Amino acid sequence: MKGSVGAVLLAGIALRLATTLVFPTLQQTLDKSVEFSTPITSFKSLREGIYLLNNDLPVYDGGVVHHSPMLLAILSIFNGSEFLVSLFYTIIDSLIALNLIHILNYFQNSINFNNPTWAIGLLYLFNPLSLLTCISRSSTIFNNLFISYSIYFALNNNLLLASIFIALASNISIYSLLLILPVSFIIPKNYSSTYSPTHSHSASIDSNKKKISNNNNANKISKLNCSRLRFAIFALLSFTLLIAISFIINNSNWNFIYATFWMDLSSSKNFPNLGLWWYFFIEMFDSFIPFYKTVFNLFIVSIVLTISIRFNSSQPFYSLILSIGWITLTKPYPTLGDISFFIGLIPFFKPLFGYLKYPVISSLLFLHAILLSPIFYHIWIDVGSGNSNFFYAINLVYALSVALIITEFCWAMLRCEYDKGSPNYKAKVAQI
Amino acid sequence: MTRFEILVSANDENSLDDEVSLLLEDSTNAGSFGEETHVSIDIPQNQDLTDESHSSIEIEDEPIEIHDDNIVQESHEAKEDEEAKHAREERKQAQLKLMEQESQSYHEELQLQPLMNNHIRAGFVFQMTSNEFNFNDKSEFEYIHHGSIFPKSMRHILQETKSHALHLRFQRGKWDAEKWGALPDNGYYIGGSGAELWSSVEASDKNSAYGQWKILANSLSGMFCASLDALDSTHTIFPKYSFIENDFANNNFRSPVFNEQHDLFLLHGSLPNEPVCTENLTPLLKLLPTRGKVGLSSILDGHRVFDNPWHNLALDLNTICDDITKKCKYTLDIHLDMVFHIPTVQARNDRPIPKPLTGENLRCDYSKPYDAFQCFPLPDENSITYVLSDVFGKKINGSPLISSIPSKICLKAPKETWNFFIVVNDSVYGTDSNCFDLSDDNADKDQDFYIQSDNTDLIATEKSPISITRSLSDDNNVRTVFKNTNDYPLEILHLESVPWFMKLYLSTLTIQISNSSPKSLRNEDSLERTVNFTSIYYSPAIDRKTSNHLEYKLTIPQMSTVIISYSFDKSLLQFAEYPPDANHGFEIDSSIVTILSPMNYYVRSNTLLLLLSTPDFSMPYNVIILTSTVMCLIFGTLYNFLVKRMVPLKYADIYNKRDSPIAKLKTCMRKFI
Repeated sequence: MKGSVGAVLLAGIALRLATTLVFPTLQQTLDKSVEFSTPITSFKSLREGIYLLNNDLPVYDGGVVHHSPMLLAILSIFNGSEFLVSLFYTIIDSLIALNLIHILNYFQNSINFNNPTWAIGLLYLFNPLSLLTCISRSSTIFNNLFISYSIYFALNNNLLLASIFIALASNISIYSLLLILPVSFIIPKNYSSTYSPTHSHSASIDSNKKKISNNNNANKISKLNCSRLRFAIFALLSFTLLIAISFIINNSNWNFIYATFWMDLSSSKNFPNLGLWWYFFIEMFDSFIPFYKTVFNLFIVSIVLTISIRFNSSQPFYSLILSIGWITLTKPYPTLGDISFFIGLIPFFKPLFGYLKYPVISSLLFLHAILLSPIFYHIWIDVGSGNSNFFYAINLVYALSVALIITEFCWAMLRCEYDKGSPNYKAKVAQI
Repeated sequence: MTRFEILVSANDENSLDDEVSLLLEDSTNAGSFGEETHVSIDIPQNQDLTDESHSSIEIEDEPIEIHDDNIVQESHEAKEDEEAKHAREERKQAQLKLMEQESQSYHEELQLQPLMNNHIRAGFVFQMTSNEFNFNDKSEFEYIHHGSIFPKSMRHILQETKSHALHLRFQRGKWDAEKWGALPDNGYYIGGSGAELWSSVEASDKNSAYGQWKILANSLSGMFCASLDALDSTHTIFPKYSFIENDFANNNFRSPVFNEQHDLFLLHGSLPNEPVCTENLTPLLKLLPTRGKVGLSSILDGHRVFDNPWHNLALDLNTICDDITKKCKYTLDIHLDMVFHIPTVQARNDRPIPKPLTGENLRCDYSKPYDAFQCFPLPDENSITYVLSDVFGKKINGSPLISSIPSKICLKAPKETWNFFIVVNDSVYGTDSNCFDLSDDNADKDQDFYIQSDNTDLIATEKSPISITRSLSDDNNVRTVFKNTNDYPLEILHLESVPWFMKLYLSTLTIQISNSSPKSLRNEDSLERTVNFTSIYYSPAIDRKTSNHLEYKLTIPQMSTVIISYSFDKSLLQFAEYPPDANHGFEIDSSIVTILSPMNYYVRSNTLLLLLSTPDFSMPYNVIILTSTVMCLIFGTLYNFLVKRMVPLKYADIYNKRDSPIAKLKTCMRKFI
């Protein structure tokens, strides 16, 4: 078991390093493509930041660098060595795969995963999207790593580390801060409890415990709330601490807040990407821009909150995955790196696959969108034979396809909840 | 001896560069036509007296009175010499007297320089000096007498905006440095394509300096009918080394601050897209005391000045102060330079309505196949003859009476092959130095200038010390090529201002050197040392606020080419930020190259045309509607999933009916009854 995990990770590392060696210019090509790189995640601007840092030039005064000061400080250690940097990114990607395997190991008993657990790592590592993201050296990968660690530690009831990692993720991409709520819901109530994503352990445990003593129940619930609250407070505190550290690293200058977090929240860089924001705000009339930016941000928050609260007691882990997917869909500068992490988490939905209504249509729609988007971008920007509407249209298709995947799983979760643990795929159910 | 002193004083006062002072030296030897002896007596003495008044400033009023007496004496002498000219002289002396009192001066000059391929450069210089004022005395600074020479509007602008120096350039066309050689006057007066403005402003801090600069740009915009009001913060930079280092050398930056707590700030802005036309020339001519009616400015006609391959208008205002006497004065220099292609001008004169030449007028190469249908044209003729009024379409109208120095016209060409004569009433005169002083005695006469050459290839042009080419490549790279063809290294200063929508990656900056001399440089260390890439100043752009500002020093080794390139990313703009002709592209400011050693030379690169991808401008409502629809679709579906109840399908209708508001109302009613 251990040996095969190692083999999978080694294979992933070898594949990444080999690709980098065989196609040395692939990194630059991907860094220029809008699917893998945005102004706030691109490696080119990261390198520019390191260059400015090393030459004592103002890093955040201009409009080029939008990476966190800590990331710049860490990557400046490599001193421009191409091989070390690609090795670093490769190792990070394999750590994500390792975390996925660990998380699946945790759920091994409840998720009826027919294949060995290392298969999820294999799926992630050999997913072309995550491979290309790793090679493009997008900073999204750090966000994914920290989220995966946070999930892992939260499941293992390690509140402190889970909160630190969610804060680190938020430091890379501010929207990860929203994941504090769904992550806090996956923290197990009891050390000894086993955890199932499909039906809440709290229900089963509570029913078990009910037999023993009814009086303890209130006590349990307050304890549970306490650990969630503690996690949220820890996360916010460590986020503040990280900002303070960044402040010190950045020569006691606050200007990085504007260049990193505010840039992401306000989406003031008009740059084509896969998201819904950019074309909308290019075409929007000046006076309405602040209003719609608020609306778009509320749009992200609203569904993360409602999904987490709705499935809080029944399927908190799945609601976390859906929240990650939702943020990917609605954030201002999404890349395929974000969606590749979401895809890497989809095998966890294995018990629900039977409930999916149109899996073929949604996956084909997604493939269609990601294949056509580079082509439409090319005919708009490079060839000039098509205009921006082509790329915009494929943006909408992409958004619909990701939304279709999310709604499919949301429906599957509702059905699963309705069936109360005994799947009945034939039952016809409606909502009123 | 006296003549030598004129030169010195002219140099001190107006900070003329070497070339102009050389011209002055020429003029002292020049045999001026007409009342040559008389005029040449007048000038040095008046000028000497001005010098005296400079040195003995403590007793201000007395020397001036003495001058007056002297001048009156002079005019009496003139009366004895030439009685017919008496009235005219009286008028002139009255003008000069007024100028003496106010220590103002005016001078104008035209330099003609034949260039390769039958081109000719005409360079007009108009110089004005204001009367002196005391910079420590606030009241005197505020109140300045009505000037008869120095334009009041300019004085007003300088004082309102507290600017000490102001340089305005309008330029269009391409100076062909390979054929035409070095730019006139070391290129100091030649701006980049479009409009360019730089100014040193006295202010307490950067922000208030920018505020004053904005007022300055707006006022100049109205004054010169140019879009200078568009010089907002995205077009304005504060040069770190350029202009400053050399202007200190030229004493242009010497003026002290009037308020001790203030500092001088240098601001620079350019509009590469600005069209330059007659509406910019007319206000410039209006600034002259002659108003373009008499003197050299009378031949300037907008149709001719702008109908040529290259033209440049320059306006330079400086505050010159004397540290000892604490007296200041303003100088205003206007330089108009233009290049004409003589065969084109002549063809236009011959055939105002363009139509093809008739067969017999074609110049054919008979050594090649030639018949009624074939003609291989010959190159332009080597010999050429024309008069100045052919080029400008007008004749010079007299000489400005207001000036103490006569207007001068010079031809800068080898004497052996070029003839330059003045034609007055069909009689022809020439001088050794190819320079003529315009005499107002010829005002009523028909005067013109005759230029003739048998070998137009023999010309007096200097080689351009540097050649610079800047270009954009398809893979988003800015490439600047510096070529030094001299046998000595050049130390240069390069200033680039790049708009914010080009996101520069300084980390990608590379320097390449290709050496054409046998001792080629190979290893990296020596490249670093040879190129000596130092004094780098970089201020990255802030979106919609400032532009990228990059300055550095560089040494270009002899006989070699240095290529500097860096990559950038294009940004998209918001719908309303695109200009009406968005698909034309965006013009990027020309970069400014200053040669620091071994000589001083200024040159601008070509402008760049950046094509930004555009959104579909007809789509705002469609985009708002479509995006909102998609978002509502997603939100609506998920929201329904999350808030609604799951029921078996077969009971759905029943539950629905039971739970509908009407059903509830009915049960309620039933209960009530």
